[in-house]
Amino acid sequence: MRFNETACIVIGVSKYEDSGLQQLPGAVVDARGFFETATGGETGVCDLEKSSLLLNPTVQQVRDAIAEYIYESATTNLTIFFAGHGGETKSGYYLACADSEARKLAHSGLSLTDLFQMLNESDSIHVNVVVDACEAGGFAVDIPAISKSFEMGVAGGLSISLLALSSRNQSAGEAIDGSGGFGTKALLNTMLGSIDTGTNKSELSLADVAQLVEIQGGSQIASFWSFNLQGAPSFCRNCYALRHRSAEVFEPPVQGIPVSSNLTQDHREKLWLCYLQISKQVQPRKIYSVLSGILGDLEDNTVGSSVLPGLFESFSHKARESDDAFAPVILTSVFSMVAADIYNAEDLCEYFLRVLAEQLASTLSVLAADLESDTLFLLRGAGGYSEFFSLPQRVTLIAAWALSAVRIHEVVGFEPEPVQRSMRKILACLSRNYAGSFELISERQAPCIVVISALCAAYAEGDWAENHIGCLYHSYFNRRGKVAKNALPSKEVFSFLRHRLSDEDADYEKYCDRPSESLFALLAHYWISEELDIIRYDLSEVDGTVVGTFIPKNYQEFSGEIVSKGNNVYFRFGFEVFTIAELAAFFEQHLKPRVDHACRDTSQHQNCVALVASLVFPDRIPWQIIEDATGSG
Amino acid sequence: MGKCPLLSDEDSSEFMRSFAEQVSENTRYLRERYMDPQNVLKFSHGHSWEAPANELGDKKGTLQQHGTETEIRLADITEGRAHVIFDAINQVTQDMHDQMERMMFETMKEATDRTGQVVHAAGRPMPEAMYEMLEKMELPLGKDGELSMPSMFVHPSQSPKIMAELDKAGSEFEQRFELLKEKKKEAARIKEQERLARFERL
Repeated sequence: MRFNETACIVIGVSKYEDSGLQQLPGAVVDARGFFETATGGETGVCDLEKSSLLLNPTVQQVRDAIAEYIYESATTNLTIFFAGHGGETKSGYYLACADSEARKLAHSGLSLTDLFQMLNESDSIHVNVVVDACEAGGFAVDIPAISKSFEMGVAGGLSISLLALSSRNQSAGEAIDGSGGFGTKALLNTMLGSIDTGTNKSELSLADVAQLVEIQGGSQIASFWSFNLQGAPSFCRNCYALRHRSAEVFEPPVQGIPVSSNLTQDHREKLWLCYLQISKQVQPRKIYSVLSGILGDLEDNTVGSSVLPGLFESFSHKARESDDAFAPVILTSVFSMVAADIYNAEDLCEYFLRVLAEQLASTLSVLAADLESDTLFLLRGAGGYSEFFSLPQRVTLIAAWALSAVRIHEVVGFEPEPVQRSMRKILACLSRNYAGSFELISERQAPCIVVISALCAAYAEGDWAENHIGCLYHSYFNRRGKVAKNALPSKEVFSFLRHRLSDEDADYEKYCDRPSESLFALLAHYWISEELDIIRYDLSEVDGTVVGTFIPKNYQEFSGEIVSKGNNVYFRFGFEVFTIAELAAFFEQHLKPRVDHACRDTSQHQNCVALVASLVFPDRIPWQIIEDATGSG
Repeated sequence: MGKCPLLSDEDSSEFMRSFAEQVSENTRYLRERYMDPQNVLKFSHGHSWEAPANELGDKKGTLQQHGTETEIRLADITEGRAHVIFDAINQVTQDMHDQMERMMFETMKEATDRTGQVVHAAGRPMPEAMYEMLEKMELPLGKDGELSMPSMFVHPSQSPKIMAELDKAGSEFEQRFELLKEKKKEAARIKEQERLARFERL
């Protein structure tokens, strides 16, 4: 059992006994500077009392110090910083301590493999390793030693983040005025808040810092690796955000409370498979199922809720490698659902929503700029012909996410104005450049229609909704109701498009859903906006068509693959409904009261998670959001 | 420039797989106008094939690559002109089929030149040339026991002229032709008997 404790071992070696190793006055300066920053209450997260500064130590002294942390202390988050000589030999990468010999580094240096093997002995610990030495990227050759750890992949087990402040073939320089090494200076610059990390978390991970480290003149390139499948990798305080926008800074949930690592081999393998897949494609249903399955197996909820943020740090780091701009957003959405569904933990749920709000703000801001600068941006790197099917859905989904981002900001208490600006730019660009793709082509657009209808009304974008939803509505009739079913497999998309362009009637067996939830959502829009008169004479065109929707018992459990508690309501035109008066009556009597009932005991955060769930898993509609538009909330 | 949002590699690759399958299906349909599907062989590996024991000398073949390109205008996508997918399929199918057809006739010409199975029709009545053609050919029996007659491919502009000449040839030519077919059928029956007799039986 471990308790939350963060410490650092800071090593600086300026003086070498071997004349073959040049003296490095800047290394001790670097070590002192890093130690001061890492343990300074306003800048660092390490406990001063528990941390160690080793100046000009021998190899054995360093090994002993690390061993003490691993075997004797209660540290859950350890940072090891080294400034001094380092070099790659035929047998691996070595750090040179005071008693090391240049010609015999493999014999007298501190082996990184050796260090990693020691770390493998630990459990429930996150380790940051930062090396400012020549050829530091060379310790990539020692990384296989990490993967041998039986603790890798275990919930609450070992996790490691590695930052090399020079590449494998580069020297690490230091200033001639003795003010320290270039690499450490750049690192401290970021830690001390000279650069905006773009996040509002109160604490930064090494991954957050590493991506911003720019070493003077580009003479050294930093490399970063992370093997922290889970863990609580706080590295330093987020000085920039705390200084410039303290109102929006939020605390990550407490981590490092007792964690058991008794996950089965099956659990570990599933986590690894999910993790490795993320950079290629975020598969939200798979991640949700694995996480909720594993955490559901844990008897003690507190264990699960302590593991979840750690897993999130690792998974989201991987998601940032994805080519999809929305990968981190989708991933965070899934974690918010797991937190809300499985544990019903408001604080954890709120934490993920705050991270999601942040990610949406930055993702949408970049997207707005890209859409403005490139009229075909959404097709860059896209899949060619398949975009005839995907683009109309992506356009609708982007609009829905942009609008939802504003709502999420409001719910978590962030200033919504900046993301609202991005939302407006995005909607304008979509209208300007993608109006030809405003088309209802899949039932997966149904939740977006409701989100767009309700939130455009709430944020004074009613005209945009009228135009977009109007186009979707007309395309439904133009294509004679041939809208792809929600679960249409990718391999059927081609033949569906051929079917859609043909004169055949809609094939409900193979391609289309009955009842149609998307048509129900379109009609609901005209009811919400009190414009049913517009469609008064269209109802005879859909004679015989069945439309309907699912309304859950409540919105607290709205993310599972099957939402078991709830009811499907539907009607058939030409049987139960002939006129817009009857249509309005159906919405008033059978939709609204049920939605009101489902929303009764749901918190704002849970409603928000349900909204996000319907955008990620589009076979459910967030009807709770119409509360705002109809004014009954 | 940032990353593009909400792309799906799976959707895109599955779509192109379907696209290619449709081209293949269309090409197969066109090919069957010339070639009995019973005579189509399929190999999974290598790039050549060989029937070393073939007594007729049709021993070896190698894979010949056919290729074509198609382009899509991004504006067609943003403007929702989905019919261009199927226009592209037709274009690719036609390109591929034209190449295949050319190769097939070249291969046939090579084979007939090599074996002397060539009939020159220039300066003589077409019915006579057709008679000689049939005379030179060794025709198999179909599953129904009837003679499996060859297909004849002529340029569309020549078709009415040939039909007119055949009509003009009259009943005498028709009788001669039927007799030749009977003779061929009998020869084919004997040949088939001989072929089957080569199996060892109890």
